[in-house]
Amino acid sequence: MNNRLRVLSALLCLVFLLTALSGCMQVTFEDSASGAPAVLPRPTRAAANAPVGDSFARYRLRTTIYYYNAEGSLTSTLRLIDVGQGQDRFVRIVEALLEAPYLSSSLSPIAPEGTRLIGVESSGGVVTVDLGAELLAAGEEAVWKARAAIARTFLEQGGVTAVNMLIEGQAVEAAGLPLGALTKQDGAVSAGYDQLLAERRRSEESSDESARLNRVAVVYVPEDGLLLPEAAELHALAADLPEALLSAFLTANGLPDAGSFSLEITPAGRRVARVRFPGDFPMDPSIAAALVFTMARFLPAVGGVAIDLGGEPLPAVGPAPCGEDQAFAPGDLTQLLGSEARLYFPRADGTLAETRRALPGFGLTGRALLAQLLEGPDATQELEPVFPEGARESDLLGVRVEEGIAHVNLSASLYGACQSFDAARERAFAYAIINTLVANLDSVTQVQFYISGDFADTLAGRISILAPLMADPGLVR
Amino acid sequence: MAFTIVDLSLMQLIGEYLLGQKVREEERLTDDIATRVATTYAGHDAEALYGLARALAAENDGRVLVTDMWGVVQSDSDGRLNGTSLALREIADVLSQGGSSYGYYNVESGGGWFALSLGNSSVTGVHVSAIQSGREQIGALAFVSNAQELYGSLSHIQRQIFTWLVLVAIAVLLASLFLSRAFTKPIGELNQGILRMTKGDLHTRVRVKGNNEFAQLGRAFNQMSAQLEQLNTTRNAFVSDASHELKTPLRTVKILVQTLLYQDPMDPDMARELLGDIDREVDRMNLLVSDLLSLVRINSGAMKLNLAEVPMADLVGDTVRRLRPMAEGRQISLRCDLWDEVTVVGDSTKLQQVVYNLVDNAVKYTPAGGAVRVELSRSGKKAVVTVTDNGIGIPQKDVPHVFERFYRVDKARSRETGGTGLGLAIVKEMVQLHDGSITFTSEENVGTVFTLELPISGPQEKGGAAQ
Repeated sequence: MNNRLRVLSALLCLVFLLTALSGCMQVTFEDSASGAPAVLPRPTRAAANAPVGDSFARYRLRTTIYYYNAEGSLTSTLRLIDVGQGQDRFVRIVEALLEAPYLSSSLSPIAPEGTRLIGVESSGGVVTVDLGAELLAAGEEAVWKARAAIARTFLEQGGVTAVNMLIEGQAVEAAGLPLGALTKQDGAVSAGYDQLLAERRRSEESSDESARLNRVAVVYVPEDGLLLPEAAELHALAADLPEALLSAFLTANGLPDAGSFSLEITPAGRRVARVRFPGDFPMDPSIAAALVFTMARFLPAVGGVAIDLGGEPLPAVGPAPCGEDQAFAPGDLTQLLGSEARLYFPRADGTLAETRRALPGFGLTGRALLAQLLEGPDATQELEPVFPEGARESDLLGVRVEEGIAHVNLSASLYGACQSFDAARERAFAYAIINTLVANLDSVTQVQFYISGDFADTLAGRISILAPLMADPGLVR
Repeated sequence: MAFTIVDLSLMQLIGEYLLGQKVREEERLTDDIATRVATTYAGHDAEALYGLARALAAENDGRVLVTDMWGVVQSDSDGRLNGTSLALREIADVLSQGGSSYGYYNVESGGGWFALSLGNSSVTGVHVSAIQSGREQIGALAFVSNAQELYGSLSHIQRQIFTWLVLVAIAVLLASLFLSRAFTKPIGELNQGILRMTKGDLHTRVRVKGNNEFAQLGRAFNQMSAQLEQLNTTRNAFVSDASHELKTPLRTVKILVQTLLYQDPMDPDMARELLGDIDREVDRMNLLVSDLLSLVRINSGAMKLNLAEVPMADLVGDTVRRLRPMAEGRQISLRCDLWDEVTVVGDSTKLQQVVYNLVDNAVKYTPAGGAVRVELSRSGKKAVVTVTDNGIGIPQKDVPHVFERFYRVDKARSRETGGTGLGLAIVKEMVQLHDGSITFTSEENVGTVFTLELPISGPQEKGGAAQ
């Protein structure tokens, strides 16, 4: 009996052992990570053609342009526009709008033939198009239609949020009402004009809520001594629009709402907007300049803006003295206009923070943007510098924009300094540059790095720079 | 072993099915995502591509990475791997050959060096499809999924199967123990019975239940045991009787010898008479031993028949002729009627002894003036010999025992005539060896008729019984 029990116990143990072994065999996935890393293909190409100095290669811009068809409705057409070296794409777009569309004889340009393009400003999503007086001569309706076509075309461009049209640097009006900027243009143009006429009638006949007008004004805000445009909504009776504009300007600039407005006709016959402030108003030249642009570019036919501070007219705004009528003209202060660059600086955790900085003029260049990154973040911001210590502008050997790629040539010494980067620092360095260039340079979608004129595998061992890299929005927090 | 094989096979089948399903689903999903990002990626709109990747990743509970034609990540829904070379076999395969590929990674085992983990999942699947712009491949799309759930499901199923198999194994084991006991118990009992029997306990029997083979074996064993017991009893009785039979003449011899030795003086005539008695006793013992040996040889199967064709008329006639002087000496009429010429196949010597014993008994147990008649006839396929006397007959109470060994109806007469009490027992055994039969009818003080029937064709061949 004992033998039998021993045999049975042994059998039972064997059954358990075998079953347990099979039960303990874990489900396994064939781990693809075993073995050496896979070999990826490498780009095969001719010798590097790294940039030296700055250049912006000509390219063909594929974009939608709106023209008027025979029925008077806006019709979109796809156009390929040559943008030459150093040319601004927005300028080329307006030029295309003013040209006769070659695709179809049923489409007509948006302005009378011979209408000049005086200038295009693009900053912070606000595009300001200044056309010649030829458009005025074509009549109010022509002005209205041109404005609609320009707005429709630009609002479909990436990054444009408001479009303001000027004629000879002055704001336009229709039906005696200021038009301001457009932030959307999706209705029928003729219907919009009819609505404008109805607005005028209401404003003349009534002063209640129904007569209030909705307008978008471009207010200018000083930033680092330069003026940057912003769109501001106004909702007021026609007669109160100037006051509403002033109030919006003061609000946008964080100033006390302590001004008053009046419109004057000077002996020379120039319409001047006069704004009066109390003596203790915190006025400075940049605010004054911003006010000039704000008022002059909304109120129709205003040739200048006079500013009184405690009853005394400001004699000068920066280097620009006032005119005989104590007014300042925007044309005298255009050097103060700037465009906003979106710059990316790293945080301590390796993510990127977007900061905006005003830069003079329009049409930022790659070098200018990289120079801003080289300058580093503002001291008030808790951000890290992009470039390693000791980097100079001479380390930026060249930047060229060609066919949507910004080619950036860095020096060998800068490359050497990057070798001490850890993974987060390396990633932040690469994408601060890439994100900055992509965000600010027209048509640029990728960045190709060169080191002393040649290709390199990686920046500091992890980020591949063999081929162009796209921006990384995910790194921006 | 069987359970292990079943467990492994089941796990293999289930794992392959579930894994295969997941692979196919995610392959389709990856192809679909690759199609959906193609246009955005071709336009190099990083913002839109990132937004799309995040939306698709959230929609499908995974992670989406877009690489260029050199395996460098251009968009990562997790925002961690942009600019990194994704040196995976699957990426390399798709970039070099197009189509799609997949693989699974156990991040905890070191596969996470490229930070491809997905949340807390340690087992991740990577499916890669080509991104096409028209007919041109422009990159690769990697969809990273959480395989932990699948892994967990398989492990859960495996545990379930394991648990059930263990329970079933225990149940089967218990059942087999129970069944084996049902088989081994009767064998054990039989074995015990055999062991008891070998130790001499011929009374032993085994319990028998049912009608299966074990029950049949048990019954056969019990039958054998009963026969052995019977044989043992018979043997003991036989030895006892034999001893007793031998003891009587030996005692007589002893007395005669002692008389010869101690009686002094001994009359020479007396001495001669005593020696004659001793001589007769010795002859009786000789005859007894001879008869015993005959019986033993018959019972053990050692007695061989020398079969030949035996003319029964000659045999019966010769036997009667040999006994006629004794019959005449007793004043008994001995008649022989041979009605048929019949020849049987048999042992002539043994048959002669049978007929001789029957006629001898008839003569011995018929008083003077009586008659004994011997007849031979044929009845069908048998030869029939009848021996009829008008002697003292056999009492009814002795009829069942007439053929028993050492049984004497008239012990005094038997001793007087020199009988051993084995004659009819030997006759019966010899007749049975020839497949014949011996019967008798008797009436006390009237007479007895012994009828011997022998098959003409002789005995059927039995192992060792006939030559």
